[in-house]
Amino acid sequence: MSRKDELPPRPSSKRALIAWPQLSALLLAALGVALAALCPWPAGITLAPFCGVLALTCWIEVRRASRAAKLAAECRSLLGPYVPALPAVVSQLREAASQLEGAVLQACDGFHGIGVKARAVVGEDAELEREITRIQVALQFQDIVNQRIEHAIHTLTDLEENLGACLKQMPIDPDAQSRLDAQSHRVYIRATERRLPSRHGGMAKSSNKESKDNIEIFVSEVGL
Amino acid sequence: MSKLALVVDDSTTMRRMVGMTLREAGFEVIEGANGQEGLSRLDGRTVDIIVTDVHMPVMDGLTMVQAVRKRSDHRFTPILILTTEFSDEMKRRGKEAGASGWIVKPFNPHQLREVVCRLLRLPYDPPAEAKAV
Repeated sequence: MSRKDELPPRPSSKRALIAWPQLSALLLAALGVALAALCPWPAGITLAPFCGVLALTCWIEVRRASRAAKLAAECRSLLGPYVPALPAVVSQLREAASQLEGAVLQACDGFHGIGVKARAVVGEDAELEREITRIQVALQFQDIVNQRIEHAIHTLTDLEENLGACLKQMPIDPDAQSRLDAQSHRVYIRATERRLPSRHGGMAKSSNKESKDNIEIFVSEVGL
Repeated sequence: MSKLALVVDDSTTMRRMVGMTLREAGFEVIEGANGQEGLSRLDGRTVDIIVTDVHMPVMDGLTMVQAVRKRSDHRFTPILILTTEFSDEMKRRGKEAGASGWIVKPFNPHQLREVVCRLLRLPYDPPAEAKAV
């Protein structure tokens, strides 16, 4: 699947979003002309300019409203698809954080055992102690990374809430639905894809068969 | 008889690492994942030292320190804050809450052991690494 295929269709910007108010402005202008032509003088000639001004004002307001509505619809179609995707992103982040934590815990336990054995073999050694300390300090990176992930999750959750509330108040663009469908399809693919890293390494308690499925050796003499 | 330490941190890895460090120094360690859990771990027992993080869900570390200080059995228990926070303002708030010390993460296990021993007035035998410096 190419990158181009993944992109959702663009909304058509030419489509008129507000038709009736524009029609009423035209009717008002026509009424002005009819009054000027049909009503006896001076009533027709007095009322016609007022109708004309009213029609012009109406037209300007309609144009403004139309522009605002188009902008809102464009915003909705651009941002709308991302709102339903945010919970999936949040859950992916949580899963990544959890996998990272599990991996670091395993590393801690493994390293602790190695440290104990190394001390037993080497005895009191400054170089060894320095290296052990260095790894113990380095392993604490997970705590800081986790804090940042939590911060990102908090921001994304707020964004989803506020953006969702904003978008509910905007006019619905029918094209947004197709974009939403395209986006949810992409989220589904990503949710499937994200299982791959866990199959490949670290956290997955995969069977031997599954592990062997991930290995391919091209030299025929070497078997698994 | 070994000393008892309470380690309070929402991060499992940090609890594990602090726990390992203190166990290596001969401590018995109990854990809590937030301030509320930390307080409940104190019920019915007296700990010798408390090591706690600041930012935690349910109840933060500073609120827990204040609550611990209100308990007659732990009014003078050394409480060490172990956090990524390093601002003077936060340290001042920690001191006001009743904390005995402040260590910024990531921590050096030898330094943590040394500080804990110092707070408990225990003899501290520095490792070969520290002796060499």
